[in-house]
Amino acid sequence: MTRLLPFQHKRFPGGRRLLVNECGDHHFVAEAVFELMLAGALSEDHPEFPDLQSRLFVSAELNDGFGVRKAAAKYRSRKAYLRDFTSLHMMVVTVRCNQRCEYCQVSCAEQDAYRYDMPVSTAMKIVDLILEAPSDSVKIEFQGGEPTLNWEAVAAAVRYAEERREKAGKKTVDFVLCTNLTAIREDQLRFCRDHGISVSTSLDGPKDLHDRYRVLRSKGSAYDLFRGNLALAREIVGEDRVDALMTATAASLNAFPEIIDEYEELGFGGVFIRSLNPYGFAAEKAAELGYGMASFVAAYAEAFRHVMKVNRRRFFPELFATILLSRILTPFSTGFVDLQSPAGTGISGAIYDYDGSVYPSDEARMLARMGDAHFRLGNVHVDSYREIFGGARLKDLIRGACVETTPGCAYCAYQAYCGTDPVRNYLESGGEVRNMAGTPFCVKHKGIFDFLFSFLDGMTEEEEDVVWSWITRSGRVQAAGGRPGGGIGGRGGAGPGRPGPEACPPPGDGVAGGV
Amino acid sequence: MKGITMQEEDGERLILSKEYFEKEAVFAVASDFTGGYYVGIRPHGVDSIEVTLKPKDGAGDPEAAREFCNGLVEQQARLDLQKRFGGLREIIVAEAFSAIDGK
Repeated sequence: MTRLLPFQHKRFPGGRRLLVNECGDHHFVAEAVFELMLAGALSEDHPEFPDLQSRLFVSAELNDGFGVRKAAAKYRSRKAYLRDFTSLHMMVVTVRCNQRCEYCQVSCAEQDAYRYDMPVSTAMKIVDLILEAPSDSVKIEFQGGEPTLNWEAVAAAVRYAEERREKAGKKTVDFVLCTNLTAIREDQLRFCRDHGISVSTSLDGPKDLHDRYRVLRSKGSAYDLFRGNLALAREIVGEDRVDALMTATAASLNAFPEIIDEYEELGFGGVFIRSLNPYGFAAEKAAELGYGMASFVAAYAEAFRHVMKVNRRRFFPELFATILLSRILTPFSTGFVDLQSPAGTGISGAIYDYDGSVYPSDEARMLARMGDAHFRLGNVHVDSYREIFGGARLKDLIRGACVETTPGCAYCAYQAYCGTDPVRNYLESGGEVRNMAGTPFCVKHKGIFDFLFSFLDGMTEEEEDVVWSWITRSGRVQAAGGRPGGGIGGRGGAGPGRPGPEACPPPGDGVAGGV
Repeated sequence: MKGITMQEEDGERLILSKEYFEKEAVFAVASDFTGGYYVGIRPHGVDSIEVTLKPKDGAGDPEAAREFCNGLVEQQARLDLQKRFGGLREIIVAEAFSAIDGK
């Protein structure tokens, strides 16, 4: 007598049924085999049985303690990001910006609005709080506005964190400067080099596309300034220390291949195809900038195919697919803040506003800027670490932010790979938990998972090698000899929560970017 | 007895046999339709449940009732599987988050 182990399932075209179990293993079977499983009539002699057994969908024993322990161990590995409680800390050192991007989700302030600068004393107070986090390693991202406009706070925070790191018991403190590169100075880049600060910037595509919505307050081409300073940043900070993210507006949807080519031409190591989020200026201009998520998914699929073509001649991953494929094809934790369950809001990443207010995500901070401080966790000047991160507000938020208990997600086949965003739910529906079926968040992620699984089910050997090269991040895998299983353990994969290094503040899916 | 009887007078109206479909399956599918429809659920005699779907925008999807039925079949299959898994899902998660030394 065989026993079924827990799994979710989904019908695919061509009489195929996708099975995904608790620990994220997946397997396609014919509908006829699924019917046998459903009827409890799949025998051990069936040719599919060994595969289903090894992937923990069925067991030959009624009381399979070993199978349960194995599934539990894999589940534990997959959720390992939960051990690194709040390792990503974003500091908004100023809301001022020298650009006024049409889709800016933080609704930046005028370049001379100095009241929106973070005082050095607040920056140091924030560093003190960050170093109280239980994680061995933390990452501090400097965001804005444009953080280089308040360099005093950035430099003070870096020096103070370096000084306090060892005493605070941290193995590493990594820094990322999220800058549009159009106001950065040479001395700032030298400081980045000397203190190991990665630079994350934004590039929306070729000049016409980049300049369309990324607008300099001083007029002129943001793209031209960006190109010049990108070269300077690479020269001073290092080629591999500068990365970029794009934000897709309606104007981008038909231009993904050109955007990808631009990234390749400018020497970036990959591209992250990222959709727009409904916050800030982007919300105000939704009619012009926005699009339906079904359109985004169709454009994303085209972009993916184009990236595959690029990979015939060089290693060039699409980074969102890399995260999702890592989740699908390996048992390791990928810890991507914007798509995890429980949600990464507050427990994987947190953001500190210029006045010391703490929010579980940049989107929550944006809501506060729009007049709704629903998600504010506290302020570093008056609240302790325990009050902010161990308080009822964050616990309540996270308790409901699990796909396993969310309507529309609880039975979804992609549950093991997906996540939820209570801040976005709140913005769109007024509640932190909602039925996700048919929401833009669901349409986007379900659509991309559908596409990726269809791709995986029919991919060629060459495409499989490309996929594994993205996952292992080590260039092409030599096909014969099996698939490398390692390389993205622990916090690995796409980095500790976000595809790093990241730009900021995130006008896209909260992944990063958009300075 | 049929599991589903579809009646299209008075909007989309489904009569579902309790013998085939559980309350949890009906509510799970109904919940997915609440974005675009006003969904009514009420008893229909002793053995059946009546579900009505009225589109919020007036037009609605002509296939809505059929989609509802397909969703119901899938959802009931999930529930049936869930019963076969027993409490294994909870045991796996509990084991995964238990202390390494078993304490």
